[in-house]
Amino acid sequence: MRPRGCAAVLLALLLAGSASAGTATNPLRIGKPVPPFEAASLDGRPVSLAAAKGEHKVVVVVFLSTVCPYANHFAGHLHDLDEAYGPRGVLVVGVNSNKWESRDEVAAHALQHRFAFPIIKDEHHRLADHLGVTRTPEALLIDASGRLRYRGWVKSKQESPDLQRALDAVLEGRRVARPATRAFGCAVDQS
Amino acid sequence: MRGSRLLPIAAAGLSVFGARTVQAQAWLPPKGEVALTLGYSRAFADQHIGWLGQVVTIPYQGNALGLGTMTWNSADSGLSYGITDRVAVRMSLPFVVSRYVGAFPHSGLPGHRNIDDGSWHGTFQDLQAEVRFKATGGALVVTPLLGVSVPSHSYEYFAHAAAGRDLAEGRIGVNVGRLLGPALPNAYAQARYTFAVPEKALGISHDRSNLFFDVGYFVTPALTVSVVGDWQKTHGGWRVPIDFPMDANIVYHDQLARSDYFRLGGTASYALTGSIDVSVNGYASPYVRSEVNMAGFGVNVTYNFSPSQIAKRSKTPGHPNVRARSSS
Repeated sequence: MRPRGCAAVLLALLLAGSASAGTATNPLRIGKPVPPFEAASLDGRPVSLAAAKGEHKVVVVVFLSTVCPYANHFAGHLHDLDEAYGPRGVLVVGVNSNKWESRDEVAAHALQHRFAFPIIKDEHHRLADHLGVTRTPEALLIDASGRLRYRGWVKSKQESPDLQRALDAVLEGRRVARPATRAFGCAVDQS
Repeated sequence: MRGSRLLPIAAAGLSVFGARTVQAQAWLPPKGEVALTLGYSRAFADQHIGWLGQVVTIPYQGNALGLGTMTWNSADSGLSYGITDRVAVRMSLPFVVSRYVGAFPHSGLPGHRNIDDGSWHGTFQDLQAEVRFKATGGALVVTPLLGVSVPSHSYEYFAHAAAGRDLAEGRIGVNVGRLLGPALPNAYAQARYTFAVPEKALGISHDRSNLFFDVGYFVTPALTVSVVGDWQKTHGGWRVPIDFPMDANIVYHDQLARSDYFRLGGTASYALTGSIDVSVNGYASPYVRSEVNMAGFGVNVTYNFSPSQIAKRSKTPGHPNVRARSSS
């Protein structure tokens, strides 16, 4: 077979592989209950969705990374959100699921960005798998009834504060105008 | 391990250096996500550089005349798809419109069409397909690749204005990439080495090594700038014009040129929306052997989407698409 013939066969195989490929699935739906989870924060305190939603009006779970430029870009905004909305009954929970980022690095990163909210070091990315999260930063907003009210970016690339808008809407009993956005950034290490 | 992946640079990755080379792609698109890229690039050259670094000229009436100027306009289209979180495929097919202006065209030998006539000529070039597999994640992402390039049809290769070499080739290589934080926050570096085995001409091999690098910085979440370079070394083939045969086999001299070069450029990418990125790039060739002194620029628009999510939305009762179908 001439090289061109070999190449055509290989190309056909590639195309066939592409055509039969699976598609991404997302286990969470807007408006549906978020499956419960429990974990321990870096300082050893238990964090559970069941307890958190009973004690707070809103729980915001944000997946973070110490090195992802996007996650770090919005770190200041997260700090500000926590400070501004904490007194209004909002609990922010940070999660780091990247295997190659150590607990010490995560703790130092939290200190650097003055995160006062609990941070979970999600060993073996169980929580990321549980919630179907694949990127950092990605935020999930859960109301007091345990339902998912917003999922997606912290801010858009054009700095549109959609997480904050969703927070305002839920706290004020309004419908979230844009309940799902397309999170962008770095992959969660799920190896 | 699965490591960080940066979605803007995991886009379809069309040519920075014309229609023949693609960007490093250490980071894969997410599973189920498609990046469709459409682009325009323009490359030009006004010198043929010989193997010894000299400008190739033709003596004419006591003067040394250059071989003329060449321009290639390329409409680039490419599609990348994340089959899984570890495997992605990419395909592209450029349409090249080119022109030669000069006193020494490759004349239309039997079996060859003369396209060096000062006019623009357009043709589809090579269909390229590539599969990438993420071998390691973590801080350093290593992504081996296998690729093929197949001429879309039998186009003219014996011409200054040729769209390409009209040769199939296979490629094997590896991408590596890493985020440079916390030492250099907001910066990344990636590189790609490929070894290409093109179809032989006259039984002569002219395999090729390419080393591409890309060092970038996220200015804002929407804006990324980078410095890119592409070094090429051809293993075999003919040195220009030292090894050229003085017979009919001269028609293979472009296909077999031992083309070595280093191209250096820059890119800027801006996210217009959450799904659409636009990027511009430019480059020049500081080092050239047995090749033309190509320089150029381009602009690409990439649309990132997930077909499964679009399909899911369109089936959701109350979705505008469903209402439109119901009322028609």
